[in-house]
Amino acid sequence: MRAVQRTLLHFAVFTALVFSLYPLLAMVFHYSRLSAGSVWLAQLFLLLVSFAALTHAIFIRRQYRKKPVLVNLSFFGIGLLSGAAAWVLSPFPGVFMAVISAIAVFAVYQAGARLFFIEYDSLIHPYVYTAICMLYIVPSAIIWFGDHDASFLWQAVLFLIISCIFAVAHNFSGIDIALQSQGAEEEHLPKGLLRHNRLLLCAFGAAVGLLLLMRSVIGTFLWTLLKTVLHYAGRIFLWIAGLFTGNEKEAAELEESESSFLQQTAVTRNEWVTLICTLILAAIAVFVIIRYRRRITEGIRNFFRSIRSWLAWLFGRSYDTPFRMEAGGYTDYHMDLTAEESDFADLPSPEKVHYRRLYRKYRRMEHTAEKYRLGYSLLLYRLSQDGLSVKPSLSPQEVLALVQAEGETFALWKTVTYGYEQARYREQLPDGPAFSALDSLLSEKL
Amino acid sequence: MELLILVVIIAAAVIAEQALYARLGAKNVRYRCGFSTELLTEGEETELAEIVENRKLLPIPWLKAELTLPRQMQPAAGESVVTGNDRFVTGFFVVRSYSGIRRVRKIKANARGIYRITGARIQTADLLGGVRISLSASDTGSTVTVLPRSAQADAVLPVRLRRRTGEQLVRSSLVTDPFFSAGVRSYEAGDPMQRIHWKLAAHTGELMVRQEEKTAKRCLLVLLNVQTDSERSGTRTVDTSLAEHTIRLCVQCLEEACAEEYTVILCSNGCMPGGEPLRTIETGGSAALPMQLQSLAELSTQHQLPFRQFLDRYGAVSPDMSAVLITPYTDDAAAAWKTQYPDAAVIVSGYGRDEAQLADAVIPEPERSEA
Repeated sequence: MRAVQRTLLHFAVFTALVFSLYPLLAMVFHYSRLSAGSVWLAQLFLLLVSFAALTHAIFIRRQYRKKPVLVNLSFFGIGLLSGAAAWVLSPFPGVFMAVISAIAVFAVYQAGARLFFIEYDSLIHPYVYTAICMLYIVPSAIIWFGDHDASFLWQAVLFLIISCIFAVAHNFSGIDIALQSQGAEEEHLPKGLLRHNRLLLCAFGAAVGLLLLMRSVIGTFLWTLLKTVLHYAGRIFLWIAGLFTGNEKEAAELEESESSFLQQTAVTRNEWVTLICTLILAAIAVFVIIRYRRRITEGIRNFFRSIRSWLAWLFGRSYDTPFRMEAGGYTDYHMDLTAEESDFADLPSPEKVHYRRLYRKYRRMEHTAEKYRLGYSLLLYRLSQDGLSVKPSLSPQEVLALVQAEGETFALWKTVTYGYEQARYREQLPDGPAFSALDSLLSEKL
Repeated sequence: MELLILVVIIAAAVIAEQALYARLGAKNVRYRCGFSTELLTEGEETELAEIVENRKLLPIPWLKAELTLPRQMQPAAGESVVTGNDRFVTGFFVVRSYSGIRRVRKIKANARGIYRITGARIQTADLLGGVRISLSASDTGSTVTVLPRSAQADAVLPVRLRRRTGEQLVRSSLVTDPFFSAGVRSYEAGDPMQRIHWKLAAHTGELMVRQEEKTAKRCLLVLLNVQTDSERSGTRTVDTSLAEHTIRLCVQCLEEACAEEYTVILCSNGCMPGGEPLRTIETGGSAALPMQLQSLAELSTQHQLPFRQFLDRYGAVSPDMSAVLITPYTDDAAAAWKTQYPDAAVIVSGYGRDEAQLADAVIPEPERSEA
């Protein structure tokens, strides 16, 4: 019983996918000033073609392994025949639209045949539903731009039916997954899924109803927004063109022609080819954003982290926290090599600037343990500038052993080291001779 | 005029940028990669780490690294291209100045063997892609050994070879076993003092010594045949799937033998990297199994000694030894061997191929069992 339901649902999803083309057809027919009834005829023709393709695929699938070329040729040939039929039956005036109709029907035939081979779970994926939402919203909005009084009753009804089909399909799929994972029986179905889908459907219905009620307000707002964007884009373009031509007159002419273009766009309804191009571009943009959303998000996050780490590096703060990025089956750990243990001699130039600032700070400070420790660290930095390998992991006595070769100042180094050990490990303030020794060593090094 | 100047400025900037990258692009850039573990079992995952370091102020706009892995090492997610026996995994890096990226991928080992990263092609370019510089990897890591997994079947060893833990008494041995007493006897010259039974000596009035049994640990000779078709069939190719299943059965047999405290000698007609058939030394205890599995990981099923010759050369079973033959089929050579050693067990891994009716157990491949 459940298998039969699942098969019926598969066909329902297939039909819903074909009916998702309705707003596109409505837009084209609206701008071609054809009757609303012909939209339904065209939609039914597309449904017929897609089901013919599906039946073709079902019957011929076992032959593909034996005769792949012949099978492909049959799909191509019947698709061409469907296209030719569309050419003949095309209600549009002119050859151009007849060709477009033929290509569209050919594409629907090919798509219908390929839909059979696509996994059911992929068909009911939320991305597909998102794409259908876009197909309903964008063409409907374009119709609104031109005609605020257009009726959207059928779009709303179809959208609700398609949403219902997708919700039920999701519900079934969720139940199947739950049953498989838990080994449960059918009477223990998760009721939460069904309740959740009902809530979602109610929310969708409410949103669509609200849009229908407020259509004139929203349509006016969107149209004003589009006009403003186009106006300022045109002005920017004219300004850039004026930079190269230097001809104010031409720029003014261009501006005039741009404004007349806008007026023409606002008035005429036969420029639907431009609108289709806009629609295609918008669809591509949406597709790219959805397809690469993870990379885009990661790119933005990475960009901000780069700025943050760069600023931290510039102002002498350490920013060595690695961050990870998950994409394409791998994990990236970013490392800040400036924060890695290395010779002081390898420090980049901003650290040197940092050193001078710290030395000035050292000179201004009172005799405290903090001052002593700062002076000692500056001394170590100067030591590394002289070519000695002084790593931060070295203990004070190991540093002392390094400078044993400096015979004259070795006594001063011993005093400084003892004072540092007092300040660092015993939390005592070094005495006066230790500070004097540190001062003399620092001044000598500078 | 302004346009011309703009074009000249842009051209100069492009040339300068390309010259800069051509000179400094590859400087202080280091790439290395490797597997995180050296030993894993077939079907397990390990990590492949790639590390790119850029120790200079000039950032790297992109760096492409194309790694050549054996086709059996499959990335758990993401894309890879398989050509012949190689699998190519490509990665792109964008590295800022004085920074590095450590990229970690999960890699699944699909088959036993010893693998390594056989190649790493690294290429970097400037912002506009005009200058391309090839680099070499400073380190491509060590080899990773993928041990064969067990067949996950029910008990493979026949009942007569199981549940016999401990040592067995033998007629001759170099040393005696103090845990096995064999009564007392009169002292003889040369007997060690520690064996004198002082209480009994006081009772009998003459020196008496304790006698001890001679024992030996049980040894199991495992004979593995990876030749999947008999010579009479005329088939020269190897059914890799069946051969691998036979090896997995052998792994399970070795695991059970070690659990039963056998010492094991493993022989196979598959060849080792040196070209010789496999024959391990007698090993027991906890170290035995890893050593045998390591040998099986290296075993080649493509180069083999014929089954009949293999049994003639390695099939001799001494009286204090048990033997198991694991083979995809049985023929007259196996029948002759079984007649010679009737206590030996025969396990057949191919479905319906026990023509000589010798098998103690037939354990076919799981996916072929219904065929």
